[in-house]
Amino acid sequence: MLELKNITKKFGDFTALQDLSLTVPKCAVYGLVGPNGAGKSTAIRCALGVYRPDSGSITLEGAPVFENPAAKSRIASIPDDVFYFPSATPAEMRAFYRALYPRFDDTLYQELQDVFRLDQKMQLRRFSKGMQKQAAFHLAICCRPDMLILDEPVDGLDPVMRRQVMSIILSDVAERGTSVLVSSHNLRELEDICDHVGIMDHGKMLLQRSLADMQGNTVKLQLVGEAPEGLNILHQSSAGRLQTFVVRGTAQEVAEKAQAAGLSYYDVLPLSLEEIFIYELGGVNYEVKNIIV
Amino acid sequence: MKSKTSLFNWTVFRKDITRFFPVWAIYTAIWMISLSNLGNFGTAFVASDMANSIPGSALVSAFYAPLVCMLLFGDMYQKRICNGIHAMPVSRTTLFFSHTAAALCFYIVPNTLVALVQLVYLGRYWYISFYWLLGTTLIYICFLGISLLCAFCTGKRFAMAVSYILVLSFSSIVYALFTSLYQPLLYGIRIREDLFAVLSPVASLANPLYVNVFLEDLGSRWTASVQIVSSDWLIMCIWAAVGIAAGAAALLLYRRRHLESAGSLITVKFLRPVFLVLYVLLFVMAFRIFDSIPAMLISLILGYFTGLMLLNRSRHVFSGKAWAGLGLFVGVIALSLVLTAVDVLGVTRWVPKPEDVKLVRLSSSSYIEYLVAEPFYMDDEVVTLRDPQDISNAISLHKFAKGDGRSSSGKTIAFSIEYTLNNGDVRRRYYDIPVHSPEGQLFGQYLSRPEVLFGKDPEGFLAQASVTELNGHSLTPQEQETVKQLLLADCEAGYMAQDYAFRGSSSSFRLTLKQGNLTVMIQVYDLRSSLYQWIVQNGYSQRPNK
Repeated sequence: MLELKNITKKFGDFTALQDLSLTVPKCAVYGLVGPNGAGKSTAIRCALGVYRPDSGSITLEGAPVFENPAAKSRIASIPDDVFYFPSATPAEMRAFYRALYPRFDDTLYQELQDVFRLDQKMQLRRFSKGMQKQAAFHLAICCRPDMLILDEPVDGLDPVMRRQVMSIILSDVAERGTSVLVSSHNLRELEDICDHVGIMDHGKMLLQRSLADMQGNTVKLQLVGEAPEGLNILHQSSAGRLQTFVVRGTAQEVAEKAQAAGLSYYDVLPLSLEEIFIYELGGVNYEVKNIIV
Repeated sequence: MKSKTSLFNWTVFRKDITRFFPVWAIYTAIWMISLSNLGNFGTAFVASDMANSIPGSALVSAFYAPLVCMLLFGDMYQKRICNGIHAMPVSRTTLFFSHTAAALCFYIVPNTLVALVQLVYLGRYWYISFYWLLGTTLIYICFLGISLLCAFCTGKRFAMAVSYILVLSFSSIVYALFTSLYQPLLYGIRIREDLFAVLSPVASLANPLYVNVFLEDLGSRWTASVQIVSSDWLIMCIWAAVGIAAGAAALLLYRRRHLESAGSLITVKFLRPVFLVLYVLLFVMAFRIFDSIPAMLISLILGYFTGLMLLNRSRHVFSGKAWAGLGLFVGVIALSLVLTAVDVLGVTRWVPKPEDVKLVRLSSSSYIEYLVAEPFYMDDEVVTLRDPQDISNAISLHKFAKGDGRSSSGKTIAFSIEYTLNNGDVRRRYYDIPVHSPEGQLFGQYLSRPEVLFGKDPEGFLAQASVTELNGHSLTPQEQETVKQLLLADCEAGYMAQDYAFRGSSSSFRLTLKQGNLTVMIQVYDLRSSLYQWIVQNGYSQRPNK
């Protein structure tokens, strides 16, 4: 379990993270969402032990991450801007990773060469951005980490490779119990893989919940007629006679109220992740459009 | 689950060695090429060359150490690589020591190879090779440590190079600052360059000998006698210790460093004002060529704000806080200048009481040094006065120089007066006085004393010395005795001061005396002197035809 507790990080006078707390449970895929400049990358660099927070603590299974090679050897990461030594080839980077990460799996590396078809003797700087990202995935997965931290991981990957990469990661989660912290400014990208979501803005965590909780506590009610009394309505819209309400509550509670009101037609539907965020954060001065593009 | 502290990572070290192998390979190749023709010389010459190259290696290390440091720690300067490296399971301490070990190997391994090859050419002087390796390594450690410190104070390669140059030339900058701003306000006090040179690693390490090899021609072959100069090795060890201390400071800075500072000019907050002050002073120094107060003020303002722009990486630096900082900066400099000018510490006003003075040493700065062959006069162009009356005269000279002598016009003579006080303090002052004033003439008489010209035992020297030449003429033994007697009498009379300032427009005649290996050449110029008149009367005033 990766835990960031009350992290504050300032760059000069600018506060990048303010009292940020975040917990990635074991075997979970945690999506960190927020608009550009929300502090996602800073939070991730703190989580990786790269940046030293001004206050707060970051631990992996209770052990501090910062300046702790033992903890760091259990974390693999893919930064938004991947790093290689200038003029290094994939084979050289593999040797470097193998020497630094005690659990580096050479057999897996060989196997994954069928997925990531990269020339092992070609200099990485000559690769396209997407191919460089593939090489980063290849190396990170073979580190056999307990915690995989991904910052905007699929930028530059083609749709087929995105699916393949995500599939490899999810199977790693399922088989080995790897935890994943993945950041993105695109909600749709995360919806299919995350089971926990945190949303950040201006260095603060606005909301952090499991996806099941979110989807279970807010539903969409479509009906013809008057809305039943006692509903906690977050949003209302209409198209002709059909009215749509976003209502806080479980599907069962809402359905019971609708039935008791004797409506001629009603239907209770689940919300997409995108809709949940729109309605949950509707009251916050937050540019929702930035995360649902 | 805290990992054990490991100081070294073989993978990082190996990566450094392989990644930058062209650098140390070229360095080794240059050495090997330069050694390739050593076989043409005798072992004594090889020993001499090797010994002489130890101080020379300071210049090589001054360039090579920062280059190596810039390469190995250059990852700190690029955010992407810096973040990538520090996300890996290696601590900063481990990275530091692994890179530093590689940096040492970049120099020590090639040099060891060179030392081993030279063993072949050194023959019985094989041990010079050991001293060479030890000496060059210690020198390199000094420069590497300083380079490391500069590397961790800065966030850009360019800034690292600039800061390294600033550190190496720090003593020169401070000296230039003192001489240009404060020296004119400190009448009688001279800021000694040698005191500042001690703070310069290049000057301190490139000048000593360390191993002195004296070559001697035995006819059929040359031989060498070797002397290890322990005092020079002590200096070298001190500087190596400075390098190690600088390296330790670099490690502390690294451990505390905020990695987001990659790309910034200065990464350590408390060093930002230091950089700004040095930068502004350099700027002002550069604009000194215009030699006017408005130009100085403009350069100060320009330097201050461009310095702020560099530090903040922004053009928007004209805030009220910045102007207040400039005001404070100008205020501090102005205050220090005013305090110096009014002499709050009484340094320039100071004149000792005669009873407090143990001895006085008078010296002229325009002494005709080139006429005197070394080593006889290496440090003897000074009159040492112990007699109370002489001390009192010297104090009068001092007072005159500070008072009436300062405003007098006409031909002047520059002199220094050094007091050794009864409490052990030594204080030196420098003044100009008119040559033709009574005090100037008094000073001339002191400079003319026999012990000034001939050392501590003038009679003994003259008794054994022979006059080898007088204005190009050879003298008979009898003439030589006459000349020596006249010379001694003229010295006592005060007509033999060997200083340009006392020479008139009349002709002067060169007199050369020799005793053993010591040679003294004297200019006879004073028309009042008996020797001058004797030369004219005996027809030696004309140089012989060749």
